[in-house]
Amino acid sequence: MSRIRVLVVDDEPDFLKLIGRRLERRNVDVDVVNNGQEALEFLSKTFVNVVILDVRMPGLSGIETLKEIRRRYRNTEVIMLTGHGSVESGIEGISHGAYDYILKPFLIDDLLERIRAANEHATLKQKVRGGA
Amino acid sequence: MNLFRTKRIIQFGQYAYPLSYLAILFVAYKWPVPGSIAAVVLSAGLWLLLKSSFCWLSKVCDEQTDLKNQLMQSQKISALGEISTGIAHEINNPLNIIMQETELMRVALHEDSTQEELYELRESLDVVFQQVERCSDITHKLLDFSRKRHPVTQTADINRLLLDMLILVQSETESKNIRIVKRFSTDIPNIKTDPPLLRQVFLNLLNNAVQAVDRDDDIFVTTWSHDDMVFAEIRDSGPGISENEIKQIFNPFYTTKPPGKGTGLGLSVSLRIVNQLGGYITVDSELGKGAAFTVHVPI
Ligand SMILES: Nc1ncnc2c1ncn2[C@@H]1O[C@H](COP(=O)(O)OP(=O)(O)OP(=O)(O)O)[C@@H](O)[C@H]1O
Ligand SMILES: [Mg+2]
Repeated sequence: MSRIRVLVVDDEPDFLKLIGRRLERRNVDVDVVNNGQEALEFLSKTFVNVVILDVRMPGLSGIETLKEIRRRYRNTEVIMLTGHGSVESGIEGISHGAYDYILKPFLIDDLLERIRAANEHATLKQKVRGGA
Repeated sequence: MNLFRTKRIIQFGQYAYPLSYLAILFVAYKWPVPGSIAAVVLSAGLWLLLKSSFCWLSKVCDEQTDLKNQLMQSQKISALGEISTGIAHEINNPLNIIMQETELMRVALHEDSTQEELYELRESLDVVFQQVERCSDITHKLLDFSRKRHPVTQTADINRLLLDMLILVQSETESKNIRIVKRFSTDIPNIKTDPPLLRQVFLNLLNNAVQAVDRDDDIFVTTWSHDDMVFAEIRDSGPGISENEIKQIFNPFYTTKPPGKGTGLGLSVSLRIVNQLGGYITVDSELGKGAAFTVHVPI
């Protein structure tokens, strides 16, 4: 099986550095960017299986970025990252096509499991679409 | 009525038929020749009777199909009416506000607007922006409702899915002092389902429960399995739903919440999703006794 390509989008440089290193160690190809705009630019050049997207960012909001990603890149799944969940924001993200949510702070294994599930979902979806 | 006549004939026949056989048996035993004739005549008579009742029955079946079609058509039209009213109502509120604000802006905007008027203009623009956002939220929900979903099935643990969503909304429930009581069955098999779709359903049901209890109350979340189905129940101790209302809550745009708070699409979207996953949603509620929504999905 090929390695999973992940893009982490968050406005906290320390967090990005840490998570980048930790995921690399788990055999995941990781890239990191600081905001939604950069994420969209990155995606326009490189295909990514799963995007980990912070809900709250300055500039283009998490939800706006999510909408754009889902519209342009149908084979990329998005996992929302949030420090403070609520019913409303949860519904908003999921109904706009987020695959899952993960709350900060999280265990790396937990995140990894969700990344794998999201990646599997994308692969299966491609197959369904291809077969239809 | 044809159906009534047919019923009478069959009712009569259930006694007459065996009796006539016994009679023929008796007659044929005593007088063989007239007995045979009687048997032929009787069987011809029975044949006629059954044939005519069969004709009546076919007619009744046709009539029933016609009636069913008519009923379905009128149901479709009334559902369409209800939906149109819902959409119109939802969109009209923000439109009305936008209209009022633009009128105010017209008055305030002229060549030498004062500082105060400019301030008002800015405020009006903010309101217009908010209302446009509200409209786009409604259209998003509408599109989400009508979206053709292609469920993708993955192996999933329903307890885990529910727990994740409970953790996600925990800070909100805690701040409202709502206690979530989990009663998860530990021997539930994994299911084949589309996880993000099921998450959306659970969030919608949780949302309704949280809005129903408002504050300082309990929400019970229970899971169990039976045969080849898995169940997840979300029960609240809110105001409950009357028998009349239960018939309507799954209709798109049916809501009892104030404008801006609910669009009335949560349950209809959820039901659609669960149907697509091969399951259904049941409601158990009475006015004043809380409400329980149960999601049934196949393993
Ligand atoms: N747990 C509950 N207790 C009492 N009433 C409920 C409950 N769940 C739903 N209802 C009733 O059913 C109606 C429709 O629910 P639905 O979730 O479809 O829409 P909504 O909650 O009003 O709006 P939305 O979900 O779009 O924000 C609600 O307005 C409410 O009257
Ligand atoms: Mg609702």
